[in-house]
Amino acid sequence: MGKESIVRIALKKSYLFIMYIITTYILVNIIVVGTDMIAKSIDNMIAGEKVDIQTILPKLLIMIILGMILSYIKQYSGEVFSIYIQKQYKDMASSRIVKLEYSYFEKQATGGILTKLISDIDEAGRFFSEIVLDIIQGLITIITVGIYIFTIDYKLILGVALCYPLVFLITNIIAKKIVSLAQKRRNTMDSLVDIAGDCIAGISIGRCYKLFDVLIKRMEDAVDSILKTEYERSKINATSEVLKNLLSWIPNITCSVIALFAVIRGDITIGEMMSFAVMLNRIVDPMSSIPFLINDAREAMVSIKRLNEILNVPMEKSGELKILLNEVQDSIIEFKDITFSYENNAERKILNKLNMSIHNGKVTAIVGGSGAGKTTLYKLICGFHSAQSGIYKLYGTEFSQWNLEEARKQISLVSQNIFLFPGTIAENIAFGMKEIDINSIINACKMANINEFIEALPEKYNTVVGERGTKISGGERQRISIARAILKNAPILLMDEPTSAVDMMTEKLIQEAIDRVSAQRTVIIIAHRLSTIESADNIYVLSEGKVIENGTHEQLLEDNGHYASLYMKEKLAVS
Amino acid sequence: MKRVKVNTFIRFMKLLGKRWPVYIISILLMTIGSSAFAVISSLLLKQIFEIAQSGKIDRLPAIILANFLAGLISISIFGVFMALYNIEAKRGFANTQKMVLEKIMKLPMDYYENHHSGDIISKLLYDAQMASQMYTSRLRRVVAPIISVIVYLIPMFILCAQVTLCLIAVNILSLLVNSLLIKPMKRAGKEASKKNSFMVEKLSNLIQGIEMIKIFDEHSSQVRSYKNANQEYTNVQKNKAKLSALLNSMNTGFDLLSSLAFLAIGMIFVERGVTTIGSLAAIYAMYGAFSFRFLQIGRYFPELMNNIVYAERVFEFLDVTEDEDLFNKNLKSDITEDVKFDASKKECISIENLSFGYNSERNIFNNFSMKVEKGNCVALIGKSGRGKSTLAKLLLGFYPISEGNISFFGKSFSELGKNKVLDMIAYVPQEAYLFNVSIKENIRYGKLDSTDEEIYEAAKKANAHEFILNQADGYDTVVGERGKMLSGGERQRIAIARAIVKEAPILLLDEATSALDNSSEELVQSALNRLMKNRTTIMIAHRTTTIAMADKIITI
Repeated sequence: MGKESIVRIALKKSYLFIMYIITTYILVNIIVVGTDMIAKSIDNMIAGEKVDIQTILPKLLIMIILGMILSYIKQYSGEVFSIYIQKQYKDMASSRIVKLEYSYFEKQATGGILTKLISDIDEAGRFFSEIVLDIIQGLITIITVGIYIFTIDYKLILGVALCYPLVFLITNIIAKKIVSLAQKRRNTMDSLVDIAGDCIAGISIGRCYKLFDVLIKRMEDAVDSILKTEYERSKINATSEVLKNLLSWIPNITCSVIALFAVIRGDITIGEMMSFAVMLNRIVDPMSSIPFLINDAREAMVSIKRLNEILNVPMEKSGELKILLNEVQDSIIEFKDITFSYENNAERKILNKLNMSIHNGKVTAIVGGSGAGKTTLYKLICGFHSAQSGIYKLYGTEFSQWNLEEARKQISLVSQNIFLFPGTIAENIAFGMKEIDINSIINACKMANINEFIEALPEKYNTVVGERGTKISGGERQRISIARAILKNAPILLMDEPTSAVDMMTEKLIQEAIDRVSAQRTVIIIAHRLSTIESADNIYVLSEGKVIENGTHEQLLEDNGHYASLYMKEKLAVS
Repeated sequence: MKRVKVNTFIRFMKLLGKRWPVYIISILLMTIGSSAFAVISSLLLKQIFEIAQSGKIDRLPAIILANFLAGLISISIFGVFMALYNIEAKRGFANTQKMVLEKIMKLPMDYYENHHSGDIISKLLYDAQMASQMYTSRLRRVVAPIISVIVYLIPMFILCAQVTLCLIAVNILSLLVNSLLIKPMKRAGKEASKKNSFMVEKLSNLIQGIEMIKIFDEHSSQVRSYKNANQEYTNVQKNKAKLSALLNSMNTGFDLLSSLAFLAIGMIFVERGVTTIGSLAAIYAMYGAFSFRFLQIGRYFPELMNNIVYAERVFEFLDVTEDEDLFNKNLKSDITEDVKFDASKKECISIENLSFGYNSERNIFNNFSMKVEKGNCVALIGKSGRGKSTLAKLLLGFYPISEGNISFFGKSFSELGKNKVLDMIAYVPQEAYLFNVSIKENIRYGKLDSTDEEIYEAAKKANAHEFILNQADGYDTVVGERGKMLSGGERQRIAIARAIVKEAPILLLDEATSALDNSSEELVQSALNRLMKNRTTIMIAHRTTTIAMADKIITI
């Protein structure tokens, strides 16, 4: 796809771009016409005729007013062009981001994604509003003025043209260096944002262990790396500026001398030489700038490339199935010989030929040691990852055939990362749903045993929760998260460690909530606190990615295996 | 109002540090170099015109050589000082960033809970960068034209005072018109910055809550929310563009006015014999550069004002009160490192009549008292939300206490000072936080001068040594953002190792073992048992297993 994506966005508003070109063209012509008028007057004057001010001044005034209007249109259309592109990109990127593969978020640091979308878009905006437009303006000026000079005397334009091949040669050499420096700079800036984010997120630990100096040093080192690249850049920029000046100066001298000889030979008049001098100024500036603008463009392209990366990261694969074709079977989720490892650690099999069957309307519990693969299971069920081998069926159909959105509509998730969006409690519970009345929310909260707590707050359901819901305790966030899942009213309720962060009282409340809810649903609970799942209809015990035991609580105790010994230990500790 | 602006400006410029003279001189010499260069090439033009009219070519080679050499020297000066200027400017920017970063780490704890981290990062990126544009471009673009203008004006006046005066009149007019646009552009700039922050926050939510969005957000409400913020930002941008276009149009008008009118007036003067065509050509050549520079004062001054707005926001942030106890080294000079406390005292931790609430309406503690004897393990239990985590935060000194008293070994917090208090407690939080560095570093953060052996020992005691060795790079494995490469239980054990290595007399465990499953919990429990032998421990627990080990249970 390459850079087509952003360019495609740009092409949609090409009329703005065209307007810019047209207004620029007319503006340049105004200057050419005006200067020509005056050149002729100079010659007349030298020839001894009188200067006709009455005719000239009104014409000049009209040109000035016209120029002002055109200039407004030109500038505005140019800027709006860039603003539009930035906006469109951000809209596209945001729509796309939520559909990206889950592993993208696990791999990327949050800061990297944020930096891309903020400063790279600014850079891309600059590309379209300044660089590209300046290049266009320069080209139009060169061509229009060049033609005018040609009509004075062809030798003059030859002189101008001969000096420029050297420019391009030198610029190319500098260009490559500048691009690699730009890339380096972006990377170091990404690092800085990530490191800063890391230090702020861990501020509690930072305070407790008095890590101020250590963390500051990390950040300052990042700033210093950026500074180093900037030093190199400064030196190269200075060199290019000097070159730019020389490149506009030497042609100046050469052309003036050529013009001088042309006057002495009588090929052109002094008035024409005057207007040539004026026009030369106008043309030399863009001619020497364009190679450097192209350099700037190359730097900006680095940002544009990174932006396009986001537009090209693979989206989650979705199948076509949207409705249940068969009548609902007993086994609504089935895992057959599922093997899975994470991309970055392909040797370590988190799940190793796992077999499991979740039955409709029942409460199924999954227990096992840390690292046994429980958390990965819920990610597979939700379709965040795909197993490397084996079959996963949802409602009798292979998951890969399901339309992803439809499949997820069947599932409500209560995960350990309880993310509460900045907003009111009501908004958080009704998250993602359209027009839910407050009574439904209250009912869900009653079922989740959190309604009492919310009613006790001064603002009740309108209480605002901070980033990641920091103002609320762990147990309360857990229950809000459960209420959210209940409100969605999906047939499958998936809970990852719902009682891990709560005390015994709250655990009881949550268990009650689960009991109420499981009457109408299929519930899957991943837990390590066995007291939570004693009453489950079926318990799977995982170890090293495999199911080692399976049955009801009573059956497993009778079997006197792994589960039984874990259970005994937990019970003993209580007394 | 103006005074405030000037003060902000000066304060921001001071961030350049001791090298500010280098910075200023570089701007001066850089500008003089480039303007002298332009003057030299204009004078060449004048001489060429004279030769054209008189026909005396023999002087040509000498003239060209002299001009060429002079030009080369001035442009070299320009180049050298331009590089120097840029380097100093970037260094100033780096200084600003460092100050902001340092400040971010020093704030009182409630700042972090009340402010969205997207806003904090947005400040870093956007505000500091925009404010620093003062050094990196805007200041020069305002000062340089003034210097250039002076360098050009002198020869121009010498060549023909009358024409020069007419030209200046036009330029002054244009400057006045430009200054009218300062206020509205500044306002638009502030609006844009606010909307931008808001947008960054929305984006941050999209990314951090991605799991929830994929499962729950069927109607893409979060994306729509972002797009709305984007639309608002775009509208403000368009308003800015209109102002910009207006400014540009005014300046084009003056540009045309001066070019065309100048030539017309100039011709009249030549006709009357006041000046020559050659002088006119030279003035014209210089005027082009002169006018451009003159208008740059108009163009960049509003933008410089804009930068000051950002600088104000940066200073607003830098002026937020820091956590004084920790960072104000001047305060309490009578508290030294060796505040004597009797470590053999029986009463280790004592809380007396504590009343505390995050806000004035809801008090979490009301006249609460508690004593813990040395070597004991106290479990705090109670309904969730009643204050157990809050007590931990108070013991760590995260929030100031106005009513009541906390003391360690008989010395109150105010006697010990926050620094000493933190030295005495090792804390393991509810959700282990791992920094994006190696496992070894994460553990070393417990005690910065630990040796490798001490770290391995601590890891073994926390039963983390085995799984660490199984990682790709062992102890040197980098754990990823927030430690996402590891499982919850693994992160917790590293956090425990960190606490172990600190060797503090008091241990504070906030539901530390709750994220572990039964088998590893057992291992950690035995490790903690060993650890707690000669230490005083406060445990905030929900689980019956952990409570069973306590000497005393206190309900909150």
